[in-house]
Amino acid sequence: MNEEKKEEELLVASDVCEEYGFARNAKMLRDIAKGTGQVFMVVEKGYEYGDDFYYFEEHLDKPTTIFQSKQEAICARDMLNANSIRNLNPFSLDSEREVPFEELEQKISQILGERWQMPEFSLRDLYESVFPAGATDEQLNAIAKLLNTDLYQVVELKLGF
Amino acid sequence: MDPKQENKSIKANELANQQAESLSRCADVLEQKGFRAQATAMRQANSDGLYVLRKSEYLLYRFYELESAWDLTKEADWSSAFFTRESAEAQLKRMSIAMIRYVFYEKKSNLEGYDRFLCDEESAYAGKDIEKGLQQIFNKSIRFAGASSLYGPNRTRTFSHPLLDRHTRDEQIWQTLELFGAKLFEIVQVPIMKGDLQ
Repeated sequence: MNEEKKEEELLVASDVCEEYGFARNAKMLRDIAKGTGQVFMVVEKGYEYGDDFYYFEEHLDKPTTIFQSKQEAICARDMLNANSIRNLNPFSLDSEREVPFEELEQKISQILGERWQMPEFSLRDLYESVFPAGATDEQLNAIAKLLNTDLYQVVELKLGF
Repeated sequence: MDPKQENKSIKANELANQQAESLSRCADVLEQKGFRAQATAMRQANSDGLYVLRKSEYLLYRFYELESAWDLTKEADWSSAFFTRESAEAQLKRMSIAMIRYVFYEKKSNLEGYDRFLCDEESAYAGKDIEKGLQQIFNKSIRFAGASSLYGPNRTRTFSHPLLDRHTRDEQIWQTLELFGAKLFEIVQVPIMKGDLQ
């Protein structure tokens, strides 16, 4: 099928979707026909153990799920990031932080609303919780951002049929 | 679970379920109205996911010239998603050809780089009848000196004729990449969100 015919069919299919109340799918088909279709994919950053840290490795990045709306993708990303920092020790991940190591205790305590002290750990111990079990998703996400260790990201993809 | 978190989780799951249900019911309506291809693609996307193009590991780590060219195109590592594998493969082919033309011919004429890229020691050329393959693609006899001639003080041109110039057709570039097993991009199937996020 040539491109022009494909576009035309998508536009008519989009009208049918609209007529039957599938506004979001109608918009998706219309956008694809116009060449402006988009979806939002949550990608997990890949990492592997080096000599002292776990290093991020681009080729190990893993796509997890695709969403039609950016809002939903962001919501999922935040939940996944909070879950990961709840269960992993982010200090084992090699990341570029703007905040000096000495100031981290104070900043993290501010986020948690309670005094937090850096526990003793080996940098190899990635699978170890270092934050209070009662910390909320919002608090953990703020910490992940502070440490620049968000494992999940939202990537915008051009959508075609 | 903290009530705030629970609310957020319920909301995200509701949205995801709505998305899955809406795609499936919408496909039923499209099918009834005669849009069979669109309905099938939508149903498949709902059950198996979309086809997403990403840079191949080969491109990421083995050939820096291509990677820097990718950066120049201002595209992300992940570029586009498609409802059908057929469309994803067509796009992969278009992008591969465009990148080869851009990097080795338009940006700077670098035919030695192209030879090196094709004959990377890890590519799948070994054991294949390269000369026979090239003869079929270019419709003329092209001698293959072997990849080893590219290195060291006595290096020579790998092929008796250039494999890329202004006359080279898209299909010839694509077939050459296939002959040498040089993959610039790959396709991965990624599910569309439905069900529980937890």
